[in-house]
Amino acid sequence: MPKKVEHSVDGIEEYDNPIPKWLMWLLYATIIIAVVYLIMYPGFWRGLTGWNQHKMYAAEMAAAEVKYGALKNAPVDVAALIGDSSAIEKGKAIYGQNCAACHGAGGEGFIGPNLIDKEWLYGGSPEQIVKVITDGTDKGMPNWGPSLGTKKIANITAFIKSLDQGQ
Amino acid sequence: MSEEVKPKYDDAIVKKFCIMAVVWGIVGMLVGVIAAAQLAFPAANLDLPFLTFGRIRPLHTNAVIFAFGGCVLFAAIYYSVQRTMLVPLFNKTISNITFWGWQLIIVLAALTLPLGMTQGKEYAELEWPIDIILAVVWILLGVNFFGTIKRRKVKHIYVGNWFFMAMIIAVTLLHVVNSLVIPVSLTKSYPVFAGVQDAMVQWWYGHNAVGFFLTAGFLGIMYYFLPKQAKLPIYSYRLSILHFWTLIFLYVWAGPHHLLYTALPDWTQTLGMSFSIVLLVPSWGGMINGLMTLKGGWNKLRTDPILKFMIVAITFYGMSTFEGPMMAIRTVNALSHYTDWTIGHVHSGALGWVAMISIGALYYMIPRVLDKKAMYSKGLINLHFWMCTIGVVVYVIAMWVAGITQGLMWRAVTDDGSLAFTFTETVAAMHPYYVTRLIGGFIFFAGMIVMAYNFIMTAKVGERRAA
Repeated sequence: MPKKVEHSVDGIEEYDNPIPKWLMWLLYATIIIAVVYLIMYPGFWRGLTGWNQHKMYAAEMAAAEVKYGALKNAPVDVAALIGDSSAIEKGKAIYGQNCAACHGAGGEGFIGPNLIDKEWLYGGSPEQIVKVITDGTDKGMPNWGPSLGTKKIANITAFIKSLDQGQ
Repeated sequence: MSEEVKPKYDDAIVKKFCIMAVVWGIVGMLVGVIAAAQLAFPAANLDLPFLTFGRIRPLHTNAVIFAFGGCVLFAAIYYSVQRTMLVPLFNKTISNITFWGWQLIIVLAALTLPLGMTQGKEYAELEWPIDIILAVVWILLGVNFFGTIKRRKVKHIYVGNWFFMAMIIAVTLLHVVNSLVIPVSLTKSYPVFAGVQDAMVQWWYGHNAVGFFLTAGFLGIMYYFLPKQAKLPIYSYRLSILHFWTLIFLYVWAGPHHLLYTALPDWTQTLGMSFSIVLLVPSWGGMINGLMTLKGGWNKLRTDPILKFMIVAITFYGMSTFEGPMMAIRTVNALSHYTDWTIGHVHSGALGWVAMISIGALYYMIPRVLDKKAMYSKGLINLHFWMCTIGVVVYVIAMWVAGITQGLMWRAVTDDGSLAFTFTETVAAMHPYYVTRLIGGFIFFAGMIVMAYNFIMTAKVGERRAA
């Protein structure tokens, strides 16, 4: 039997077992990991890797630009996408994230004008819709060209044109 | 030792806190069930302002942490410090002031939070007049506790009390500093800290409310009630020294892991993450000392449902203190932060560890402070045990799946680089998991009703203990 420590109170006794070896090794390992991490990353000073969260953001944006940038501003034949089910599907998701807050989830209008009646304030051809989304209007519609790019705007247009505009 | 004449311990105060622990446990968990129901079915707020999620969520957290958890802590501290110091409590009047003061704070919280009076700091929502009462009552607990220790008839101070000491001192410091405000009226105030400093002070407080109130305090409970219930010696005195000092040293540094990828400076974030990783071992030290105490006595688990509560609690403690450091790693946190994974992590600690060790301690104390031989029904304790275990497992698994799904949906992009899901779609995807969580939480809550019935029947028809 292992030894017990001298003091005991209210019937509670305590063994004097050694601390499990693996637990001590785990303690040393975590301390080493923590110290190395503090040296490698901004901790004691800037960190050997030079990493920081602002640089990480910039790097991720640059990587996205390489991957999607060309796609973003390539010329798109919007007329060809009208009625294209894949374009409509993609356009619906982008519309949900960027347009629905003002124009309603189904285009019924809210802060922004209704998109499912027969009236078009700036014209209802695909090219005219693309122009309004890209450049915005004086009445409050922002210019989405720089943030969304040609491809996404074309997809949104395909989605809008897929809505029943006879209501 | 057993021949010594036992001093007249004050168990009336323990009884009061035990009763209110069960009452507030039921209330706090019921409010939790309502909050969970609102997340799955928003109409469950009945369109009443004081029932909206934003108001009852802090009511739930305050009720379960400070009302339920607090009453359990007071009961357990008052019960065990007398018996490990071999003297009655320092001062009966102070004991009663702490009881009525604590209940007053809870009632004031239950009135002000639904009315929308809040400082807006998580786990520190109460407005400044209530904060002042809380500070006074808490310091009186300290006076009573340290006063009892000073008068002790034994030389050695038992390990459970180290944790209570650390908790009382640390919580005083945390509560006072985080509650520093400039009042503009009786019910409104503004923090003296601003911007990212305010956020850092808040999470220094928030993380150590978990570390000292919900961890150190309940380790103190484990160290007294586990060896008493198991009738076995503590596994290792040396291990208790190591994990006590490392735990209280490391915990206070880990708060910044709540603010990874925010305006907090990079070096502060790194510091918080590093200390969180080292914190794994002190936490596991507590778990090992608890589990290994049962070495050679595992057969007791077959017949003793109270011991089952304690052992499952310690197991959950080990699991959630592994999960915590992992979630503090930057890359993991990038996925888990702001998702329901965090809610799952908190509840595996709060229900699995804190509530289950509390319930075990309550089942130990109740018959003794009522002067009865045993609880009215062992079968009902066993039923309660399974309700707790199933409830917490259902809850936690639902939140893991929900959280990881949420995190992955938020970051998913299509081949043209746009987000694959709208925010509303990610909310809608949570519905089945929120319903599952509601079921798990309800089972856990219903277990408290079983406990209340068992408590009342023990008081009514339980066999008296021979003098």
